[in-house]
Amino acid sequence: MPFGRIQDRLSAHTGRVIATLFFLLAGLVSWVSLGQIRQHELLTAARSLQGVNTLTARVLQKQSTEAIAEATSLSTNAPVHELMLALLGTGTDVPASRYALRLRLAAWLVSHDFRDFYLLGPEGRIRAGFRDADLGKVVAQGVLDTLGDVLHGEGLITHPVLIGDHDVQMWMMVPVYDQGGIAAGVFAVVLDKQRHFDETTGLGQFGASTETYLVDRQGRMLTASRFENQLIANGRLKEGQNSELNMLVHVSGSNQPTLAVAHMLDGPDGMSITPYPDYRGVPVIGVWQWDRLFDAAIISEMDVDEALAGYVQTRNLILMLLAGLLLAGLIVARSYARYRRRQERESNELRNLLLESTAEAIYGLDLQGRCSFANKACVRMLGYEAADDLYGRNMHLLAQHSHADGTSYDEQQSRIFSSLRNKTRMHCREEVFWRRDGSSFPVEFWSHPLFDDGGEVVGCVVTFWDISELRKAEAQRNRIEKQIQHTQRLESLGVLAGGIAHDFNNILSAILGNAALASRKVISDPLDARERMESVVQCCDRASVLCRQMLAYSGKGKFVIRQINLSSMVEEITHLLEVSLDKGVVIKYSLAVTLPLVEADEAQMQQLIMNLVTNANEAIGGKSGVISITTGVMHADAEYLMDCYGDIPVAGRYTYVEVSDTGCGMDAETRQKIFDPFFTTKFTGRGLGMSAVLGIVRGHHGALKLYSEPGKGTTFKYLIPASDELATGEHEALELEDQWRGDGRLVLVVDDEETVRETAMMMLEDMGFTAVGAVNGLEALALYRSRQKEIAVVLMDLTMPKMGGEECFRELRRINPDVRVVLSSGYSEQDAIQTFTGKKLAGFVQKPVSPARLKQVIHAAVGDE
Amino acid sequence: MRTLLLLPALLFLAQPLYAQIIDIAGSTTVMAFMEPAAQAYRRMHPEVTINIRGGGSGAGAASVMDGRAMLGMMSREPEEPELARMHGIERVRVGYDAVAVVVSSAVYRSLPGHALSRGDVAAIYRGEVRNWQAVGGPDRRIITVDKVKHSGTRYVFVNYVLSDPHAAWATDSVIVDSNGEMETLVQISDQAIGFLPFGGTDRHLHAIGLMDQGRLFFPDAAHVRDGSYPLSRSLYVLHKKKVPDYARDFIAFLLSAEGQKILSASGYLPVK
Repeated sequence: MPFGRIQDRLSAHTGRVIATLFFLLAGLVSWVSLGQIRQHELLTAARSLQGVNTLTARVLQKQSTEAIAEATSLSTNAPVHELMLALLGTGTDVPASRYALRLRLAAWLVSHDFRDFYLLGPEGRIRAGFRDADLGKVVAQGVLDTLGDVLHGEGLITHPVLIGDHDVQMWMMVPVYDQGGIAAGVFAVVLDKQRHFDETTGLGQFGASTETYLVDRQGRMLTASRFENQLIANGRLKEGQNSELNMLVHVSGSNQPTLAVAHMLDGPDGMSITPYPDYRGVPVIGVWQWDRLFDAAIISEMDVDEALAGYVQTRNLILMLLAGLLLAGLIVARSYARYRRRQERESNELRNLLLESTAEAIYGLDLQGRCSFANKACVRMLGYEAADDLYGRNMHLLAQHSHADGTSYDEQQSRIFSSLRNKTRMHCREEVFWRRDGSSFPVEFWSHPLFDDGGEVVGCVVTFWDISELRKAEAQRNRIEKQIQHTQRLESLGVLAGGIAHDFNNILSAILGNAALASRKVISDPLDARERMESVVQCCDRASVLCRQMLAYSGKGKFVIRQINLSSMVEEITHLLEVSLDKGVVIKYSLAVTLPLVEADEAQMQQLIMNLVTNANEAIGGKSGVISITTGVMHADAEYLMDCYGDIPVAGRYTYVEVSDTGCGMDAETRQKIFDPFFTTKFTGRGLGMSAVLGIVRGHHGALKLYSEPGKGTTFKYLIPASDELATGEHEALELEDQWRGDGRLVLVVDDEETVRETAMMMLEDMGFTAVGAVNGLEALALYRSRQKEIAVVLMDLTMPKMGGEECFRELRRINPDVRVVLSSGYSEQDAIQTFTGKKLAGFVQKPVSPARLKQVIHAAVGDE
Repeated sequence: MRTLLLLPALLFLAQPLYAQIIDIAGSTTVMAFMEPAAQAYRRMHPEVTINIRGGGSGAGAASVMDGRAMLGMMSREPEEPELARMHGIERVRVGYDAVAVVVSSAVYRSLPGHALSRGDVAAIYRGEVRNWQAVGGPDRRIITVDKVKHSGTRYVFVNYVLSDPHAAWATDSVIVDSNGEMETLVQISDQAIGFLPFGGTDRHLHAIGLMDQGRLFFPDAAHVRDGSYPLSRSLYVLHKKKVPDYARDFIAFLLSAEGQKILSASGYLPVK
């Protein structure tokens, strides 16, 4: 399936592109986000460093202020102050004052975390201290440098200064004023280690690398580094040394100050979140600020690695997530691809199975008409070995190159090509395909165009099947149907024969009688004889009509299509119809006067109507009933026709003949079977009538509608396509008059069939009688009992419900042995009278009753009086 | 009534079956070591609850005897009447409280034999001797450094030197709060004398020997442990013979290297 493969390749490619784009986008978004997060993390860390720096400065200031206040308060305490002044001046008993001062200050010093005290003269010489050995010495240079400021009234804390060889001390000094308010000297205390800067800056240490330290103008570190061990290890400090005063804050391994120190020396306070190497050479971010009180820079720094620890965690998480996503995506994609392949394989197998298992031949064509696939049935039907013999070859040239008659068939004109061209489905009921061996066979085929996603035709699928067997079967069926029709016609003839024989008998009797009378009177009364001869001629006319109808009915095998008027045709066979009916069955005609002509074989039409009427008659089953024959024209739509029997014709105008009866009707099971040959519900039937009817219906491209329900009668409606021509019917009737009248005597008419009863009553009244009706024998008996005297004659049907004619006659005779009863019956006179032999029947009239015959019989019956 | 019956049951339930409580009472001197030791022990054994209260050595002995405490703390030898009642009570020595007399290095260097007699020390602290020259040292006034009254170290010192903790005292002594202050002061001065627990001496600070009844005692651990150094006392933990295993385990901890380290840090001398 190239089309399917292309689609799959395309979708797989698109899928890959989409997946790649997705991951690229995810990567880009992650990269940008990570950048933002990194920047944010660094800024947050720098801000917290800033906070540490500021806090450290404040704490240092506060501690300094408090310590100075303590020292000032002590130095201004009266006894202490007095002693100090004594020692600074040239007072008496200096050793005693010194001892006293020592005693006074000792407890205070140690309890306030000071280590020593000195009383310095303005020149910087020690006037008093804890040890006599220090007296007279000049203080260290670092202290001396700040002495001037102190003497000017400023209490201050010195930077760490080197005292002796290795002792680093920080001093706090306050001025000592004499009574005149002039600074007489300086009171200095040595800060305990606990009061040094690094005790405070150490509070700023957090995490693994954050530290705060102080640097003086020379770039010397004024606090102890938290990384002393590292510094000792790389030789920046000696063993046992700390960084306080002992180290320049330079980038490790160079003479350059670190970025923070360089900036604080020549610029304002600031920060750097761009990593720079610190004094250990480790990349850090930092903030710095200059503290004027201590004349030193406060610097806080943090290793970049630590500042970005959170970021690194997030980054790793995102990378893991991306990797996980990628992996999951790959797994899903692979699983989906596998699933798709399996599904495709299964559906292909199913499709192939379907294609190969179907009895119909299927092949595919590309736009050039070349075979793209073919199933086994196709290969077999076209007489090839394998589908490969067909692939890529032009199918028209292979299988459809010529018409059935051998003339060449242009591909452009073929229906398959037009299906490709017009992008529509094509169906062809019959064409020939050619086998590989050069033989041909009739096929029915369908061509379905194939569309791509854009609605463009990419090829078509052709499905065909060999219909030679079908054609043979159809021919066989047609033959059988004709046989059936023929046989059935013979059967119908047999049924008709009795009735027709009777008619002929009547005619022959009339001819015989008239001829006899004529021969007798030809001399005595030539006029009358002539009249008789005229009657004979008339009778002969009637007989010839009958013969013609018979001939037409048998059809003599000729199928002559001509335009006929259904109404006229029905009228023509009226006689035939009526003679084949049971007594008690009345035909009601409702024939359209103007009716479109139809193209039909007259004989078959007659047979059809005859069959329908015969069946209707038999459905009534010997009881009295009505058969209605209606003609008309109607428009039948497709839906209406779908419900009909016969080859479904197209919607349009149809002329119809409807035959309905009041008989027993049919149940669904019977309805289904009535058209089967040899299906019959009758004891004597052959079961060919309705199948012949259907054959005729098919032969005339007509339709047959059937309504029937048990107990409610049956209606057959035969529709035949109407031609455009109309026909008009003409009616002519001749009545013969008799001069005899009934003189108002009463006649009891007993008949269960209202139509018959009423008709007879009307006729009798027309003859001058008074008529009274009864539905059955019982009613008749009751009436006769009450009006025995008036009733001159009883006209009675033979077959009636409740009490038939025979029984009624017996009962009437019991009431009045001289009762005059005229029997009316559909049976022949002979048959009927046989039953009443020796029973003094007043007369017999055969149905249907004509007025003349009735008058004659009644006249005869009452004429004796 | 029902409530009263339920109460013991509730108490029983409220007290977990495995509750391990050690009640300790007695000497505040020992308590100074016991508290950090208990703290360290609890870190290792969080299931053990240790309650420590003071009350003095006498109360320590009494609490153990009447069962109010599982362990008692004592920083002196039991007295005769106590000893008579302490039948079935075991005493475990957990350390020594030994005190050295210290002087500033300038004094130490010039003091003959680096020692003073008990009488000299007593005279200095009573204010009867005010210059080092009087006891063979340099011509320099003496600064006596004393500690606040309730100090255990001071108790030992005064008890020995003056044989009476309530004896009269030099009024112009410098009184400090802590051993650290004492140490700093003696260290920075060139004329001070003071007393410190063992271990607080370095090159700026010097413990001197003591002459007593014709014998010279130098402040070293060996002398303390063999009982010959007079300025010392034993620190005891008391307990009944039968104590829960976890209490025994705690006592073992006190005597372990770690426990003894804590003892050292608290200013006392380890038993070994």
